[in-house]
Amino acid sequence: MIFSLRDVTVAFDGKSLFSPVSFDLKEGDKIAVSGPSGKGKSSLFNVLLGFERRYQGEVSFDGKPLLPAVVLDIRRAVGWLPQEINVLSTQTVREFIYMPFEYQVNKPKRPTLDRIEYWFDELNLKPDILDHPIGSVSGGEKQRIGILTVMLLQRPVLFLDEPVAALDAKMKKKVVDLLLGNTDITILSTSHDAVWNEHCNKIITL
Amino acid sequence: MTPMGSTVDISWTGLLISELLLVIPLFVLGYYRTRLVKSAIISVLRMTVQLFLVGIYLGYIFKLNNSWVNMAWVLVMLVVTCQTIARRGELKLNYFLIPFVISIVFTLIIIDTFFLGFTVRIGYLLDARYFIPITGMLLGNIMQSNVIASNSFYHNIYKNRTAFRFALASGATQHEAVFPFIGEALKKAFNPTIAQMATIGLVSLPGMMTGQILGGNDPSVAIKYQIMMMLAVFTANVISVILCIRLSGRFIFDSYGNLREDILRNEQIQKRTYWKV
Repeated sequence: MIFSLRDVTVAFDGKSLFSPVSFDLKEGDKIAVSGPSGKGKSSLFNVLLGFERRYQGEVSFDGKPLLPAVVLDIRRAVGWLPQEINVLSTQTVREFIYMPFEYQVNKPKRPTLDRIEYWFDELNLKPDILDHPIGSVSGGEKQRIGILTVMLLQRPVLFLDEPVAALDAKMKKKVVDLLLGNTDITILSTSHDAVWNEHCNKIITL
Repeated sequence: MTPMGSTVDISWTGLLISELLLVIPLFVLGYYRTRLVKSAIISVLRMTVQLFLVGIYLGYIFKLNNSWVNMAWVLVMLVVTCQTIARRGELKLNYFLIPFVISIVFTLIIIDTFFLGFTVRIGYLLDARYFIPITGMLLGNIMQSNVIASNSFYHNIYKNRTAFRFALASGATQHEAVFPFIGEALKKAFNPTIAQMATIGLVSLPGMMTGQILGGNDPSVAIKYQIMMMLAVFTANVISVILCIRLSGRFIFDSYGNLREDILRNEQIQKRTYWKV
């Protein structure tokens, strides 16, 4: 068991965003959290990553409560793809992809250009956008760049927030096969997408 | 012709006449309905009264020339500087006063010692005639840079919190996660200073130099003081900005590395809908 959630909800000023949920995320699981927009699906990721402290219920990672030291371990084990990353607009796609590999903990995993080009090819991205400002690429391209960056980090667990929302049907299928078909990765996702949800082994509705 | 070493005094009538000039900017501001007329009048009145009082205080302080009194006067300026940085940077003072005071005192000790002790070589570092005006100019500039830098740094992290969290979630240490935000804050704060240095003397004659020339000093002495002052201001600004950000960072991130949003004074932040990441 990696994560265990018992009667967890996020509450601001005494008001819960959703009814308490309980589930376990085990190795190899592919879980989708579904529910209406604004219901607090993304907040679940924020709780598990230590960004949101206003939650009720019990959360543990490998049997340990979410203390600061445990949260640091989580942040080294999980690859998180937020719904939208409002990065500094001046950054190029290349700088964005390499940014996490500037961090001491990820330096040994710094990818070669060949490796990046392989993923660009897999995700049908044109190599010339590498030097474009990240702010200038389309929503679908940005989403694929995000997926690529998270994949390059080679984390055993992925938190994916609406990972296929901006993709066309063909690319969606490709990403579903790539991520949900990989038995080595554990995935917790939020999604409105029927195709994605169909391929997950568990759906949690908020 | 005025002899070197003396300045023509401005009569009170002359000063009153110059206040009449205000009619023009007030008319323009009123005509375009900027709603700035009232605050402009209040600011002009405050400026006049404050400078009038400062003129009296400084007269006494210069006559007295006592180290403790000089330091106390600088301390007053320092507290006002820190208050202004927090207020105009939209930050809550109770979290920032101590780190700001420590950072700026440290900066002043380095810069004042270096420039007054080694460059101008005055024997007595706390001499009111040098220590107070030079420190005052430094503080004025430190204040401007820090308002821009603090506002940019903390509000950028808040506005781009997904990017900041993405860095933390990707394994960045606190230092690594704030690194690009510090770079942005430094760029915002120092682009104008760098541009100003490049055009000084061509486009503008700076205040200190103008003051010395009006005071009857030789322009060759005035430019040396001005160059020293520009170097002192630039160095002091960079040191103080980086110290203020790094030192206050110890108090305003929680043990999970998150920016404590209660340190920001923007009402929009208090009202935001929390579930939108």
